[in-house]
Amino acid sequence: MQTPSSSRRRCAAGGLAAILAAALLLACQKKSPEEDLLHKVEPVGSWLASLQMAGEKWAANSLPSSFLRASLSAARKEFEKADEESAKSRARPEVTVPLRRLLAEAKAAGAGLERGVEAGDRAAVARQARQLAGLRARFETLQNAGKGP
Amino acid sequence: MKKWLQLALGILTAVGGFFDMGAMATSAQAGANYRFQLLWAVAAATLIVIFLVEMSGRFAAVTKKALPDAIREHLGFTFWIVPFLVLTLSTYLVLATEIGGVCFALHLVTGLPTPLMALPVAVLAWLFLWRSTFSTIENSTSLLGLITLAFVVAAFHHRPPAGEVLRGFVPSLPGEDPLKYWAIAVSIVGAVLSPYLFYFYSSGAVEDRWDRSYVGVNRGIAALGMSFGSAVAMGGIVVAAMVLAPRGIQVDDYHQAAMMLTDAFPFWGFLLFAVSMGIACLGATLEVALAMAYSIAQTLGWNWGENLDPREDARFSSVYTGALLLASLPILFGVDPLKLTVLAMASEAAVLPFVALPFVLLMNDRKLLKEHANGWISNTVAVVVLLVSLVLTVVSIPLAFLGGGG
Repeated sequence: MQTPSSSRRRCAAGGLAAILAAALLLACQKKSPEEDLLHKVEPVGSWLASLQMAGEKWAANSLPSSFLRASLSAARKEFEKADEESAKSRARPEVTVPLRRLLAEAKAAGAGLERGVEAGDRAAVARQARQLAGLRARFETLQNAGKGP
Repeated sequence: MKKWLQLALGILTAVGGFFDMGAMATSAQAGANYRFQLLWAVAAATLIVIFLVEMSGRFAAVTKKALPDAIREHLGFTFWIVPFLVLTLSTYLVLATEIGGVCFALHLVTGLPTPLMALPVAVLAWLFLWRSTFSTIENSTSLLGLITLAFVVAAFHHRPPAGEVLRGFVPSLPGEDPLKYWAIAVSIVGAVLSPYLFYFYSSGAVEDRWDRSYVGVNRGIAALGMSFGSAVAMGGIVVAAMVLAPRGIQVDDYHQAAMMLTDAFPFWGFLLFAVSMGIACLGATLEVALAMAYSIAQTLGWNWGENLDPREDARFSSVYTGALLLASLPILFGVDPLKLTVLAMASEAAVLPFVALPFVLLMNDRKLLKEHANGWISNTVAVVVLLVSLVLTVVSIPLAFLGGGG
């Protein structure tokens, strides 16, 4: 039976432990309230992109209405959660005010998307999807600004 | 030729062990977050699982016994009790996850709430197990499971950059968010190296009445079956990397993964995803429920066999009946399928050494296996598995919570 030498085994285990320790250290690093908030609301960007794609695909007849409704419901929960985080955050208003405005617009765009789906209006849904693309770009700018130089 | 038709067992095992709810989640997350950078994790896990599955098939072919049966007989009930309990707990979580997968697939198609589907899905799976023989299950799941090849077709359709894909097979550190990277890597390994997998495969080989003449064929079946699952899982990563990553979509919810195939198949893509998920998870539900019943019946020395009439092995049949009912409860009570998947994958990674150790010990029993006992290559892989699994035991649960991967 061939096995790696015990020193090699110790070395490999040590390496993995070091990776884990470094990862844990990174996770525990003290963040500013702005960084902390922007990290917590990160899924918003992904949900804006998801809704945009869902809207485009629904407009192209690639997705059923029930799926879009379910996605909207899941996205709305994430937007609400992010709004609550912003409301209780100690981050500077330069970050929280535009963020909360963006979240309000995202909820409105979601509602517009839903209205378009209910009315079967593919052109309206495609327009809302473009608006969501704009919101996503603004969210990314906000995220990049929050990360600092 | 007849022996090679047993490839169905390899594909059934791969459908359950590879491209199930866990692999769908981890593939989508890996591709969406790190593009091709985590292909190495699937490749490494595939190589290991081929060896493990080959060993368990060889064991069953030579001894005509399934693993838990043999462990109880040769290493004693006391030795087996802890691995057995952790295996049962982890298998329960996986079963709940797979039922969640079928429910979610039905939710995608019908728009009805996922929890509403939990009991009907459990009853459907139970009916299937109650009425079918092992070969019906393995052949139908393998045949229907071929639909998951849609991910491989879609991967080629997107023409991914070959250089970047090849670089993905070499382990590398991520540019950002290392915790998430490692959490997903561990989940991929956990999803592939499902501990129940090789125990199930050995029971399946006994059900299919393998003997020593299957030792050679078993190698091919293990390699081809697991490679099938691996190709589909890699296809999932590539598609997510080409479709979700450029749009900035990360998979925090299964709804975000459900659009993966709509670029390659604009009209059928959504339905293909739902049907692939439904079939893969239903196949996995049947496999995991059977795996649980096999393991419990063999450990306690009861009559067992999917080919027997339920009246002939009433306790075995009662186990899968109860397991399906209990495993439907988390989804019925509204637990999020993705969160359940994260927990199940982490638990699979964590229990691996408990389950792998007795297996490896048995594979080295020369009195039992004679010339078919493990050679140096298999034992080297076994040592690697034990070392990797020990590390996974320590890191999997904390990483699942800190990294939110899964």
